[in-house]
Amino acid sequence: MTATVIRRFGGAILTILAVLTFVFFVIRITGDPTSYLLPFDYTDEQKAALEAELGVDKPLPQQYVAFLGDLMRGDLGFSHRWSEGALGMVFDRLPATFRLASVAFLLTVSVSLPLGILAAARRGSALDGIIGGATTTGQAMPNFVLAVLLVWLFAVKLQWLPVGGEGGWKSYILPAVTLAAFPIASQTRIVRAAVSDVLTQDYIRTARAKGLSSRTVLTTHALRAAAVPILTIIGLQWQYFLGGTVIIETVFAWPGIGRLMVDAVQARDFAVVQSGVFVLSSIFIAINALTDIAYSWADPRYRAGGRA
Amino acid sequence: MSAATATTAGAPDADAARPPRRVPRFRIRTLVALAVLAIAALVAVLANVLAPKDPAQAVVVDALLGPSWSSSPIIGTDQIGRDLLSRLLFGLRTSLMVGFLAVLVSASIGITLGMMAGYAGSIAEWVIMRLVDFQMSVPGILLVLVLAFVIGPGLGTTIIVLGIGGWVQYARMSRAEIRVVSQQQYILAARSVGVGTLRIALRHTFPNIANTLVVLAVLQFGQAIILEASISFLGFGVQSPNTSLGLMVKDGRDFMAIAWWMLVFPAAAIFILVLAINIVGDSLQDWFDPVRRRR
Repeated sequence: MTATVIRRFGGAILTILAVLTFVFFVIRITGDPTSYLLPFDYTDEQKAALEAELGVDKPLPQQYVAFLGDLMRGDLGFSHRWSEGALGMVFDRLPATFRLASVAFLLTVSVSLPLGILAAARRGSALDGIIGGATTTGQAMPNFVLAVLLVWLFAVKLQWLPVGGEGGWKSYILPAVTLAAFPIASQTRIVRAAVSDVLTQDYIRTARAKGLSSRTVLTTHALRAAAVPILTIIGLQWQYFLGGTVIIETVFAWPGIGRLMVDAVQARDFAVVQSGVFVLSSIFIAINALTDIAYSWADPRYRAGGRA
Repeated sequence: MSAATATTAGAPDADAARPPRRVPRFRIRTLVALAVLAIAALVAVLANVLAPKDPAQAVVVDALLGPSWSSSPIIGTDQIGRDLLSRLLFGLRTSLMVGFLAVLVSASIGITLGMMAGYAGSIAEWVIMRLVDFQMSVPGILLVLVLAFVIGPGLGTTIIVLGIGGWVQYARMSRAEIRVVSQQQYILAARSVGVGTLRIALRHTFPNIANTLVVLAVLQFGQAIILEASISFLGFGVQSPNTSLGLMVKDGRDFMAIAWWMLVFPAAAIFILVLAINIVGDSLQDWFDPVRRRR
């Protein structure tokens, strides 16, 4: 168990470093960062001064070493658009993103778990059919399309809810619902599949045969066995929440990381893009590692066998 | 539920113990979905013939006309007086084309690398699988943002981004499937009569993993269309005067308070298209695999 934890966290740190290295080289190789920071009628002196300031006048390997040194001090560059430390800007926006993602996450779990279990327990029934139809529909609806349609209906036409921005609890409804819609659909299907898989096992038939009620079989036998795959998927849904915020925050003018990054890409502010990628992928990689560890804690077979 | 009600109410618990039935799922809705896709493909290919107007031609005096249903403009015009139906047809063409090319690129890269990993083992496999791990540890939309930043927005960027973004799934699946198929006796038999590795891969292994990959490709096609629409919606994809369904939703969003038709028609088009693709993908999955391996 300890070995698993160490191995996963070691791997996570290496992956984060790899992500940063990738972003560093891709951004530096493909363009001159001064070209979009200078005024149209710049002089050669201005260009040279800016290059020196950004550190891009040195050879690439040297820049990379300097970059790693800055990274150790928590310095990922300076935003030229907003004249602030880039990493600090990203951290300032982190709480808003986290609040939205958490609400969407709770919504997803509290809707998809009961629905999936219900559909599996009543497989083939009309209810299962309705849930199946709803999840198929949910998976075909891109989140931004749903977002815009809901804004049109509830904010513009009916004027019940705000169009965007973060304010009272009302401001969370539309962003959280649109962010949660797709994971609710996919997770309901996965929960249904996991529980029905278990329900076809021989030991469930044995439990039924010895006279246990279907409720007891479902709660004590089936759900416990289905918990491991469900737990994993819930962890992996965070990939979707973190990625989805980029679009949802843009639609709802939510003051989070996603919108900051879209703005930064439009403004060609590479320090902010780099910091945003660093923070979001670090969170994401850490969640993956924690999910893996939770998995090996819940399922001893996984611990012994290592990764396939 | 008590045992008494279970026996009287058509025994739902007995159903629960049975594997899911395959036949009822491959029915009318699959045929409808296939018909929708066929029509969409046909309409997209014939967009230049069917479109009543030039999709890029702006007639400012005709801006923001509502749908007239019977005469031109059938489903209205946009903010600078371009015919919405014509734009929808060409947008559909762009979306389908980008989705198709993206799947082609990612499937080619992914299957090739996945088969290499499945066969070669050792160093090649290690490198490829670390690449897979690496890419899976970064949220896809971040890759999109970084590449949009680096290459600049545009149609080509979108295809490249989706192609690079999607190969991982194909690589993992083809590698895992090859592992299973390679253990089969007919592969051993082929090898023992002296058939070369490449020939075994192409003639004996690939046909046996193709089903799984086709299902994946169909489902990824739907995802690619969603992603293309999202990227264009953010402004990093298809650029005006070209159009795609996602770009039309973006325009529709800006004018939704006064011109609902600009939003509702492209939004419905994306939804119906992806729904049809997903239904076909699901049905194919059931069709190829009666037991339906669950992940």
